[in-house]
Amino acid sequence: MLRRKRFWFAIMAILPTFAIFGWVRLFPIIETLRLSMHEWNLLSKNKPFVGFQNFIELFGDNQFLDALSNTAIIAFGAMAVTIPMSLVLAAIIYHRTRSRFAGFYETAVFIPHVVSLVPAAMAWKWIFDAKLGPLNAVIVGLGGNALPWLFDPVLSVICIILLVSWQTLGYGVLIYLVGFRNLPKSVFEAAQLDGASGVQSFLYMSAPLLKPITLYVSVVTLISGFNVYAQAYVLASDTQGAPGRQVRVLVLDMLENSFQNFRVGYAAAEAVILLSIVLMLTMIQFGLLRGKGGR
Amino acid sequence: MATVEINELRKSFDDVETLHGISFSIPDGAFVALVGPSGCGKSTILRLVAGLEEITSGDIYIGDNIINDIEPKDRNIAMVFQNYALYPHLTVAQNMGFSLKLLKKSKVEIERAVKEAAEILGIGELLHRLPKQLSGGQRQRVAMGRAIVRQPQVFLFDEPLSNLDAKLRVQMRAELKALHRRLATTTIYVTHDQIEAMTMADIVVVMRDGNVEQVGRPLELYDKPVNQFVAGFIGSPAMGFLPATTKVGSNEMVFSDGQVLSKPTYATLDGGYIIGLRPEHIRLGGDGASFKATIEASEQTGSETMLVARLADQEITILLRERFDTPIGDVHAFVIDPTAVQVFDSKTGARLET
Amino acid sequence: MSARARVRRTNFMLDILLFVICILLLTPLILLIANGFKTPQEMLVWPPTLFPKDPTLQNFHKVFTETPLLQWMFNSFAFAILSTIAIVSTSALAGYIIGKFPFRSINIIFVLFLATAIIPFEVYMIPLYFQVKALGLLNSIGGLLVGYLVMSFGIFLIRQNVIASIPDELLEAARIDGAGELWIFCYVVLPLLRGPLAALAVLAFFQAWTAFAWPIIVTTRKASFTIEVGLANFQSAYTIDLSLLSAASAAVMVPSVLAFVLLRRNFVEGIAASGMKD
Repeated sequence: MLRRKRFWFAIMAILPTFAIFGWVRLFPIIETLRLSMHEWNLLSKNKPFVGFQNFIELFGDNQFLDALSNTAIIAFGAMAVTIPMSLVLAAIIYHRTRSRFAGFYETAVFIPHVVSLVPAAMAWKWIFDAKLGPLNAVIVGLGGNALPWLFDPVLSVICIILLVSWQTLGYGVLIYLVGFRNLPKSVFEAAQLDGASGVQSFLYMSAPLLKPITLYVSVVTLISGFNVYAQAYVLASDTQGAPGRQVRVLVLDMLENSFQNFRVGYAAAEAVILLSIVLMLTMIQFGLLRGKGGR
Repeated sequence: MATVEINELRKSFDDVETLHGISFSIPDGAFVALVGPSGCGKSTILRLVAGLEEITSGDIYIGDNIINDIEPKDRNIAMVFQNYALYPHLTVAQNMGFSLKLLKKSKVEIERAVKEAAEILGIGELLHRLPKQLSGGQRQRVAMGRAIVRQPQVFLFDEPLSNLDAKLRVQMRAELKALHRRLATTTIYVTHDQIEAMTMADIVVVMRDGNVEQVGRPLELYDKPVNQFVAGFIGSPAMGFLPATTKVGSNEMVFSDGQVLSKPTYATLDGGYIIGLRPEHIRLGGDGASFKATIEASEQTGSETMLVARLADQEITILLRERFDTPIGDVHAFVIDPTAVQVFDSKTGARLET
Repeated sequence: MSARARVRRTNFMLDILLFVICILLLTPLILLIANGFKTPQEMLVWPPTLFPKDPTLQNFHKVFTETPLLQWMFNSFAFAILSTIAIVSTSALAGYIIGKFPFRSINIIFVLFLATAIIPFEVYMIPLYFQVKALGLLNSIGGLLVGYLVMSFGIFLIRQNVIASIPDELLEAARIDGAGELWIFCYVVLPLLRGPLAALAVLAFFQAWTAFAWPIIVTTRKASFTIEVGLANFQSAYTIDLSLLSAASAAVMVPSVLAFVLLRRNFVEGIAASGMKD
């Protein structure tokens, strides 16, 4: 009897949240999957079923492929820069935990992550500015040639990778710091007695023992890398201010297809591909974690 | 020559001094146990010798060298931690060979050294396992193997057996002792278990609250404890203490209930003292000083009887090496050899010499 | 050199290194703020100056009086606050139910929450956009809110906390004493969740404040932009005036950074908790 009453309370209490969730999460997700198999140009009532045609077309679409490769390069590039740097930085900050500057270090490292995307991108946009930015000023001052950072297709991707890494570094450091704090202290004392220097201790003990965290941070930064949009929008806009013209990313391509090219089904197919990539990365993370027997 | 000399060692943590000028010497090849209740500073001394903590003042010598400012890895010592501190991500062989790998020894050399140590400890078959696949006793051995491989001058043990179950502990005690006999390396062994200290050590250092109470061979500490603390700490079951009064030159000590114990006293002052009675010295009959006590509880283990009795309104423990069945509440006479009775100053706790 | 002195020297060098790295990391932001104080002419100078020669407040004045920045700030703030309230309340209740009422149907609901947690918003925001459009909520705070009413991670966080720090016995005791379920939630559970709820609130606020992709498709009229969207589109309307742009960005950035420095503990707690999710 009591159990019954509790059951009804539970259902009633969770119903509002579940209803909202169903409306803003479940329904749109299912809609995306459904639309990906249809053709819809926003205006007509007609949404014919086209099967996998959208997907087939996508893989022949140069703009999509361009966006896909750019996004992948940005995601993996940012990860490749962020992971080792945040690990090393966290190691050093952890080593100096007892310093009175420890709070300053943690705060300063994390501020780039806290600053919202657009102002941060604005800050870097000026730095990278070919004609007015300090980066080129420093390079020229050192005797080199000014580079068209935001105009060259290759260089602008590098700029985005730098910006994204700069923003993600603080997050990585934070998570690694938590990891360091949970490492068993006696293992390091034993290593110290065995003759390990600070660097050796880091290479042979810390880094391997932190593998689960490295895995987690990798996947998280990869996934957010694949969703990159604001940074490309701001940094890589051309002189007319048209956003992201220089560097196409997946989300941009998707939104363009949906709202400018009036091909919602096509855009939905792109979204499904993005979803598949994210799911695959998550699966890999789980697989790798379990393979090591977890923790 | 791996003698160890501790000289006026002091250690403070954040302005609180926890070691108050410790001094003692350890001869080459000796097995020295540091015992005492928790917080007495024994682990701190070990960690100072290892170099894991900084010395506040005082000196530590290994051989003729003062090692205060030498890095842990250059002190030629090895340590076995209480929780073994094995490298969880390395195999047993890699754990044991780690120090040699850091010294850039060749693979062949490392393999040989690891194999040798593994054979001594009987863990040859576990070389490819990870620590989490091992039992407590096996991990213990791997930790020791890791220490042996370094061929150090001094072994440091930090309560290595306290995480093992009782039976395993007894077995490992014997093995450790045998290992020490075989390797003849100077060993400093920290434990809170005085039985371990007594059975394994050549020399025992008893500590309390950051001070050394007594240093000596196990039996010395048992027969001639320097004060009440050491007397009560060493020996199991613990010595019983009762207040008694006596006069200079008298042959009697009087308990608070009026009972008189015939024991020549060497007191230099009249007044109250503390009498110490070891449970195992009290017998049912025979020659000696006798007294009466009321039985309050009795435990039979088959070969021994442990009694809790009330004498002069104090509880004392009596350990009889025979079966003795008596109803609770009975008053019984007991006998003790007067020379086994110890007398302590009631203010300082120091033992009066007999 | 003795071991002690060597350690001290290494620590000193590391401190210097860390200091330099931190300053380098903060440099872009410092430059941005500095630029806000430069005159438009000075911004066009080459090589660029680090700090303004003639610092002026005209940019900031202009930004607040002649651009819709204040309106955008209001939009962002309202959106973020409402989103935070929605997320905290739904997560608290849902997390509690899922954590302490292990019925079959509730568990199924939980699996659904969990399964969709890893799906990034960008994947399904287009159909949601059409929903919002159909409701006539485009260009409104309500429309913005629709995408940020619930947070799967928030539900998960509360569930973990509820399981870890609210013993069943406490709830049983309250029930035996005759308390109603709702009363138990409000007066027993919620007070115990203060810490995680605060962390979640900070996280939710931050998420809404920095949202970009969703606001940019939902708001098309200048007056309804959020700060992020407004600033991003700033460049097309005010392209030449870099100093104005910098001032606007700085004006937006400084409050967030200040808020972070003050609320650092809650923030860090929230983000670290997300790291323990797996």
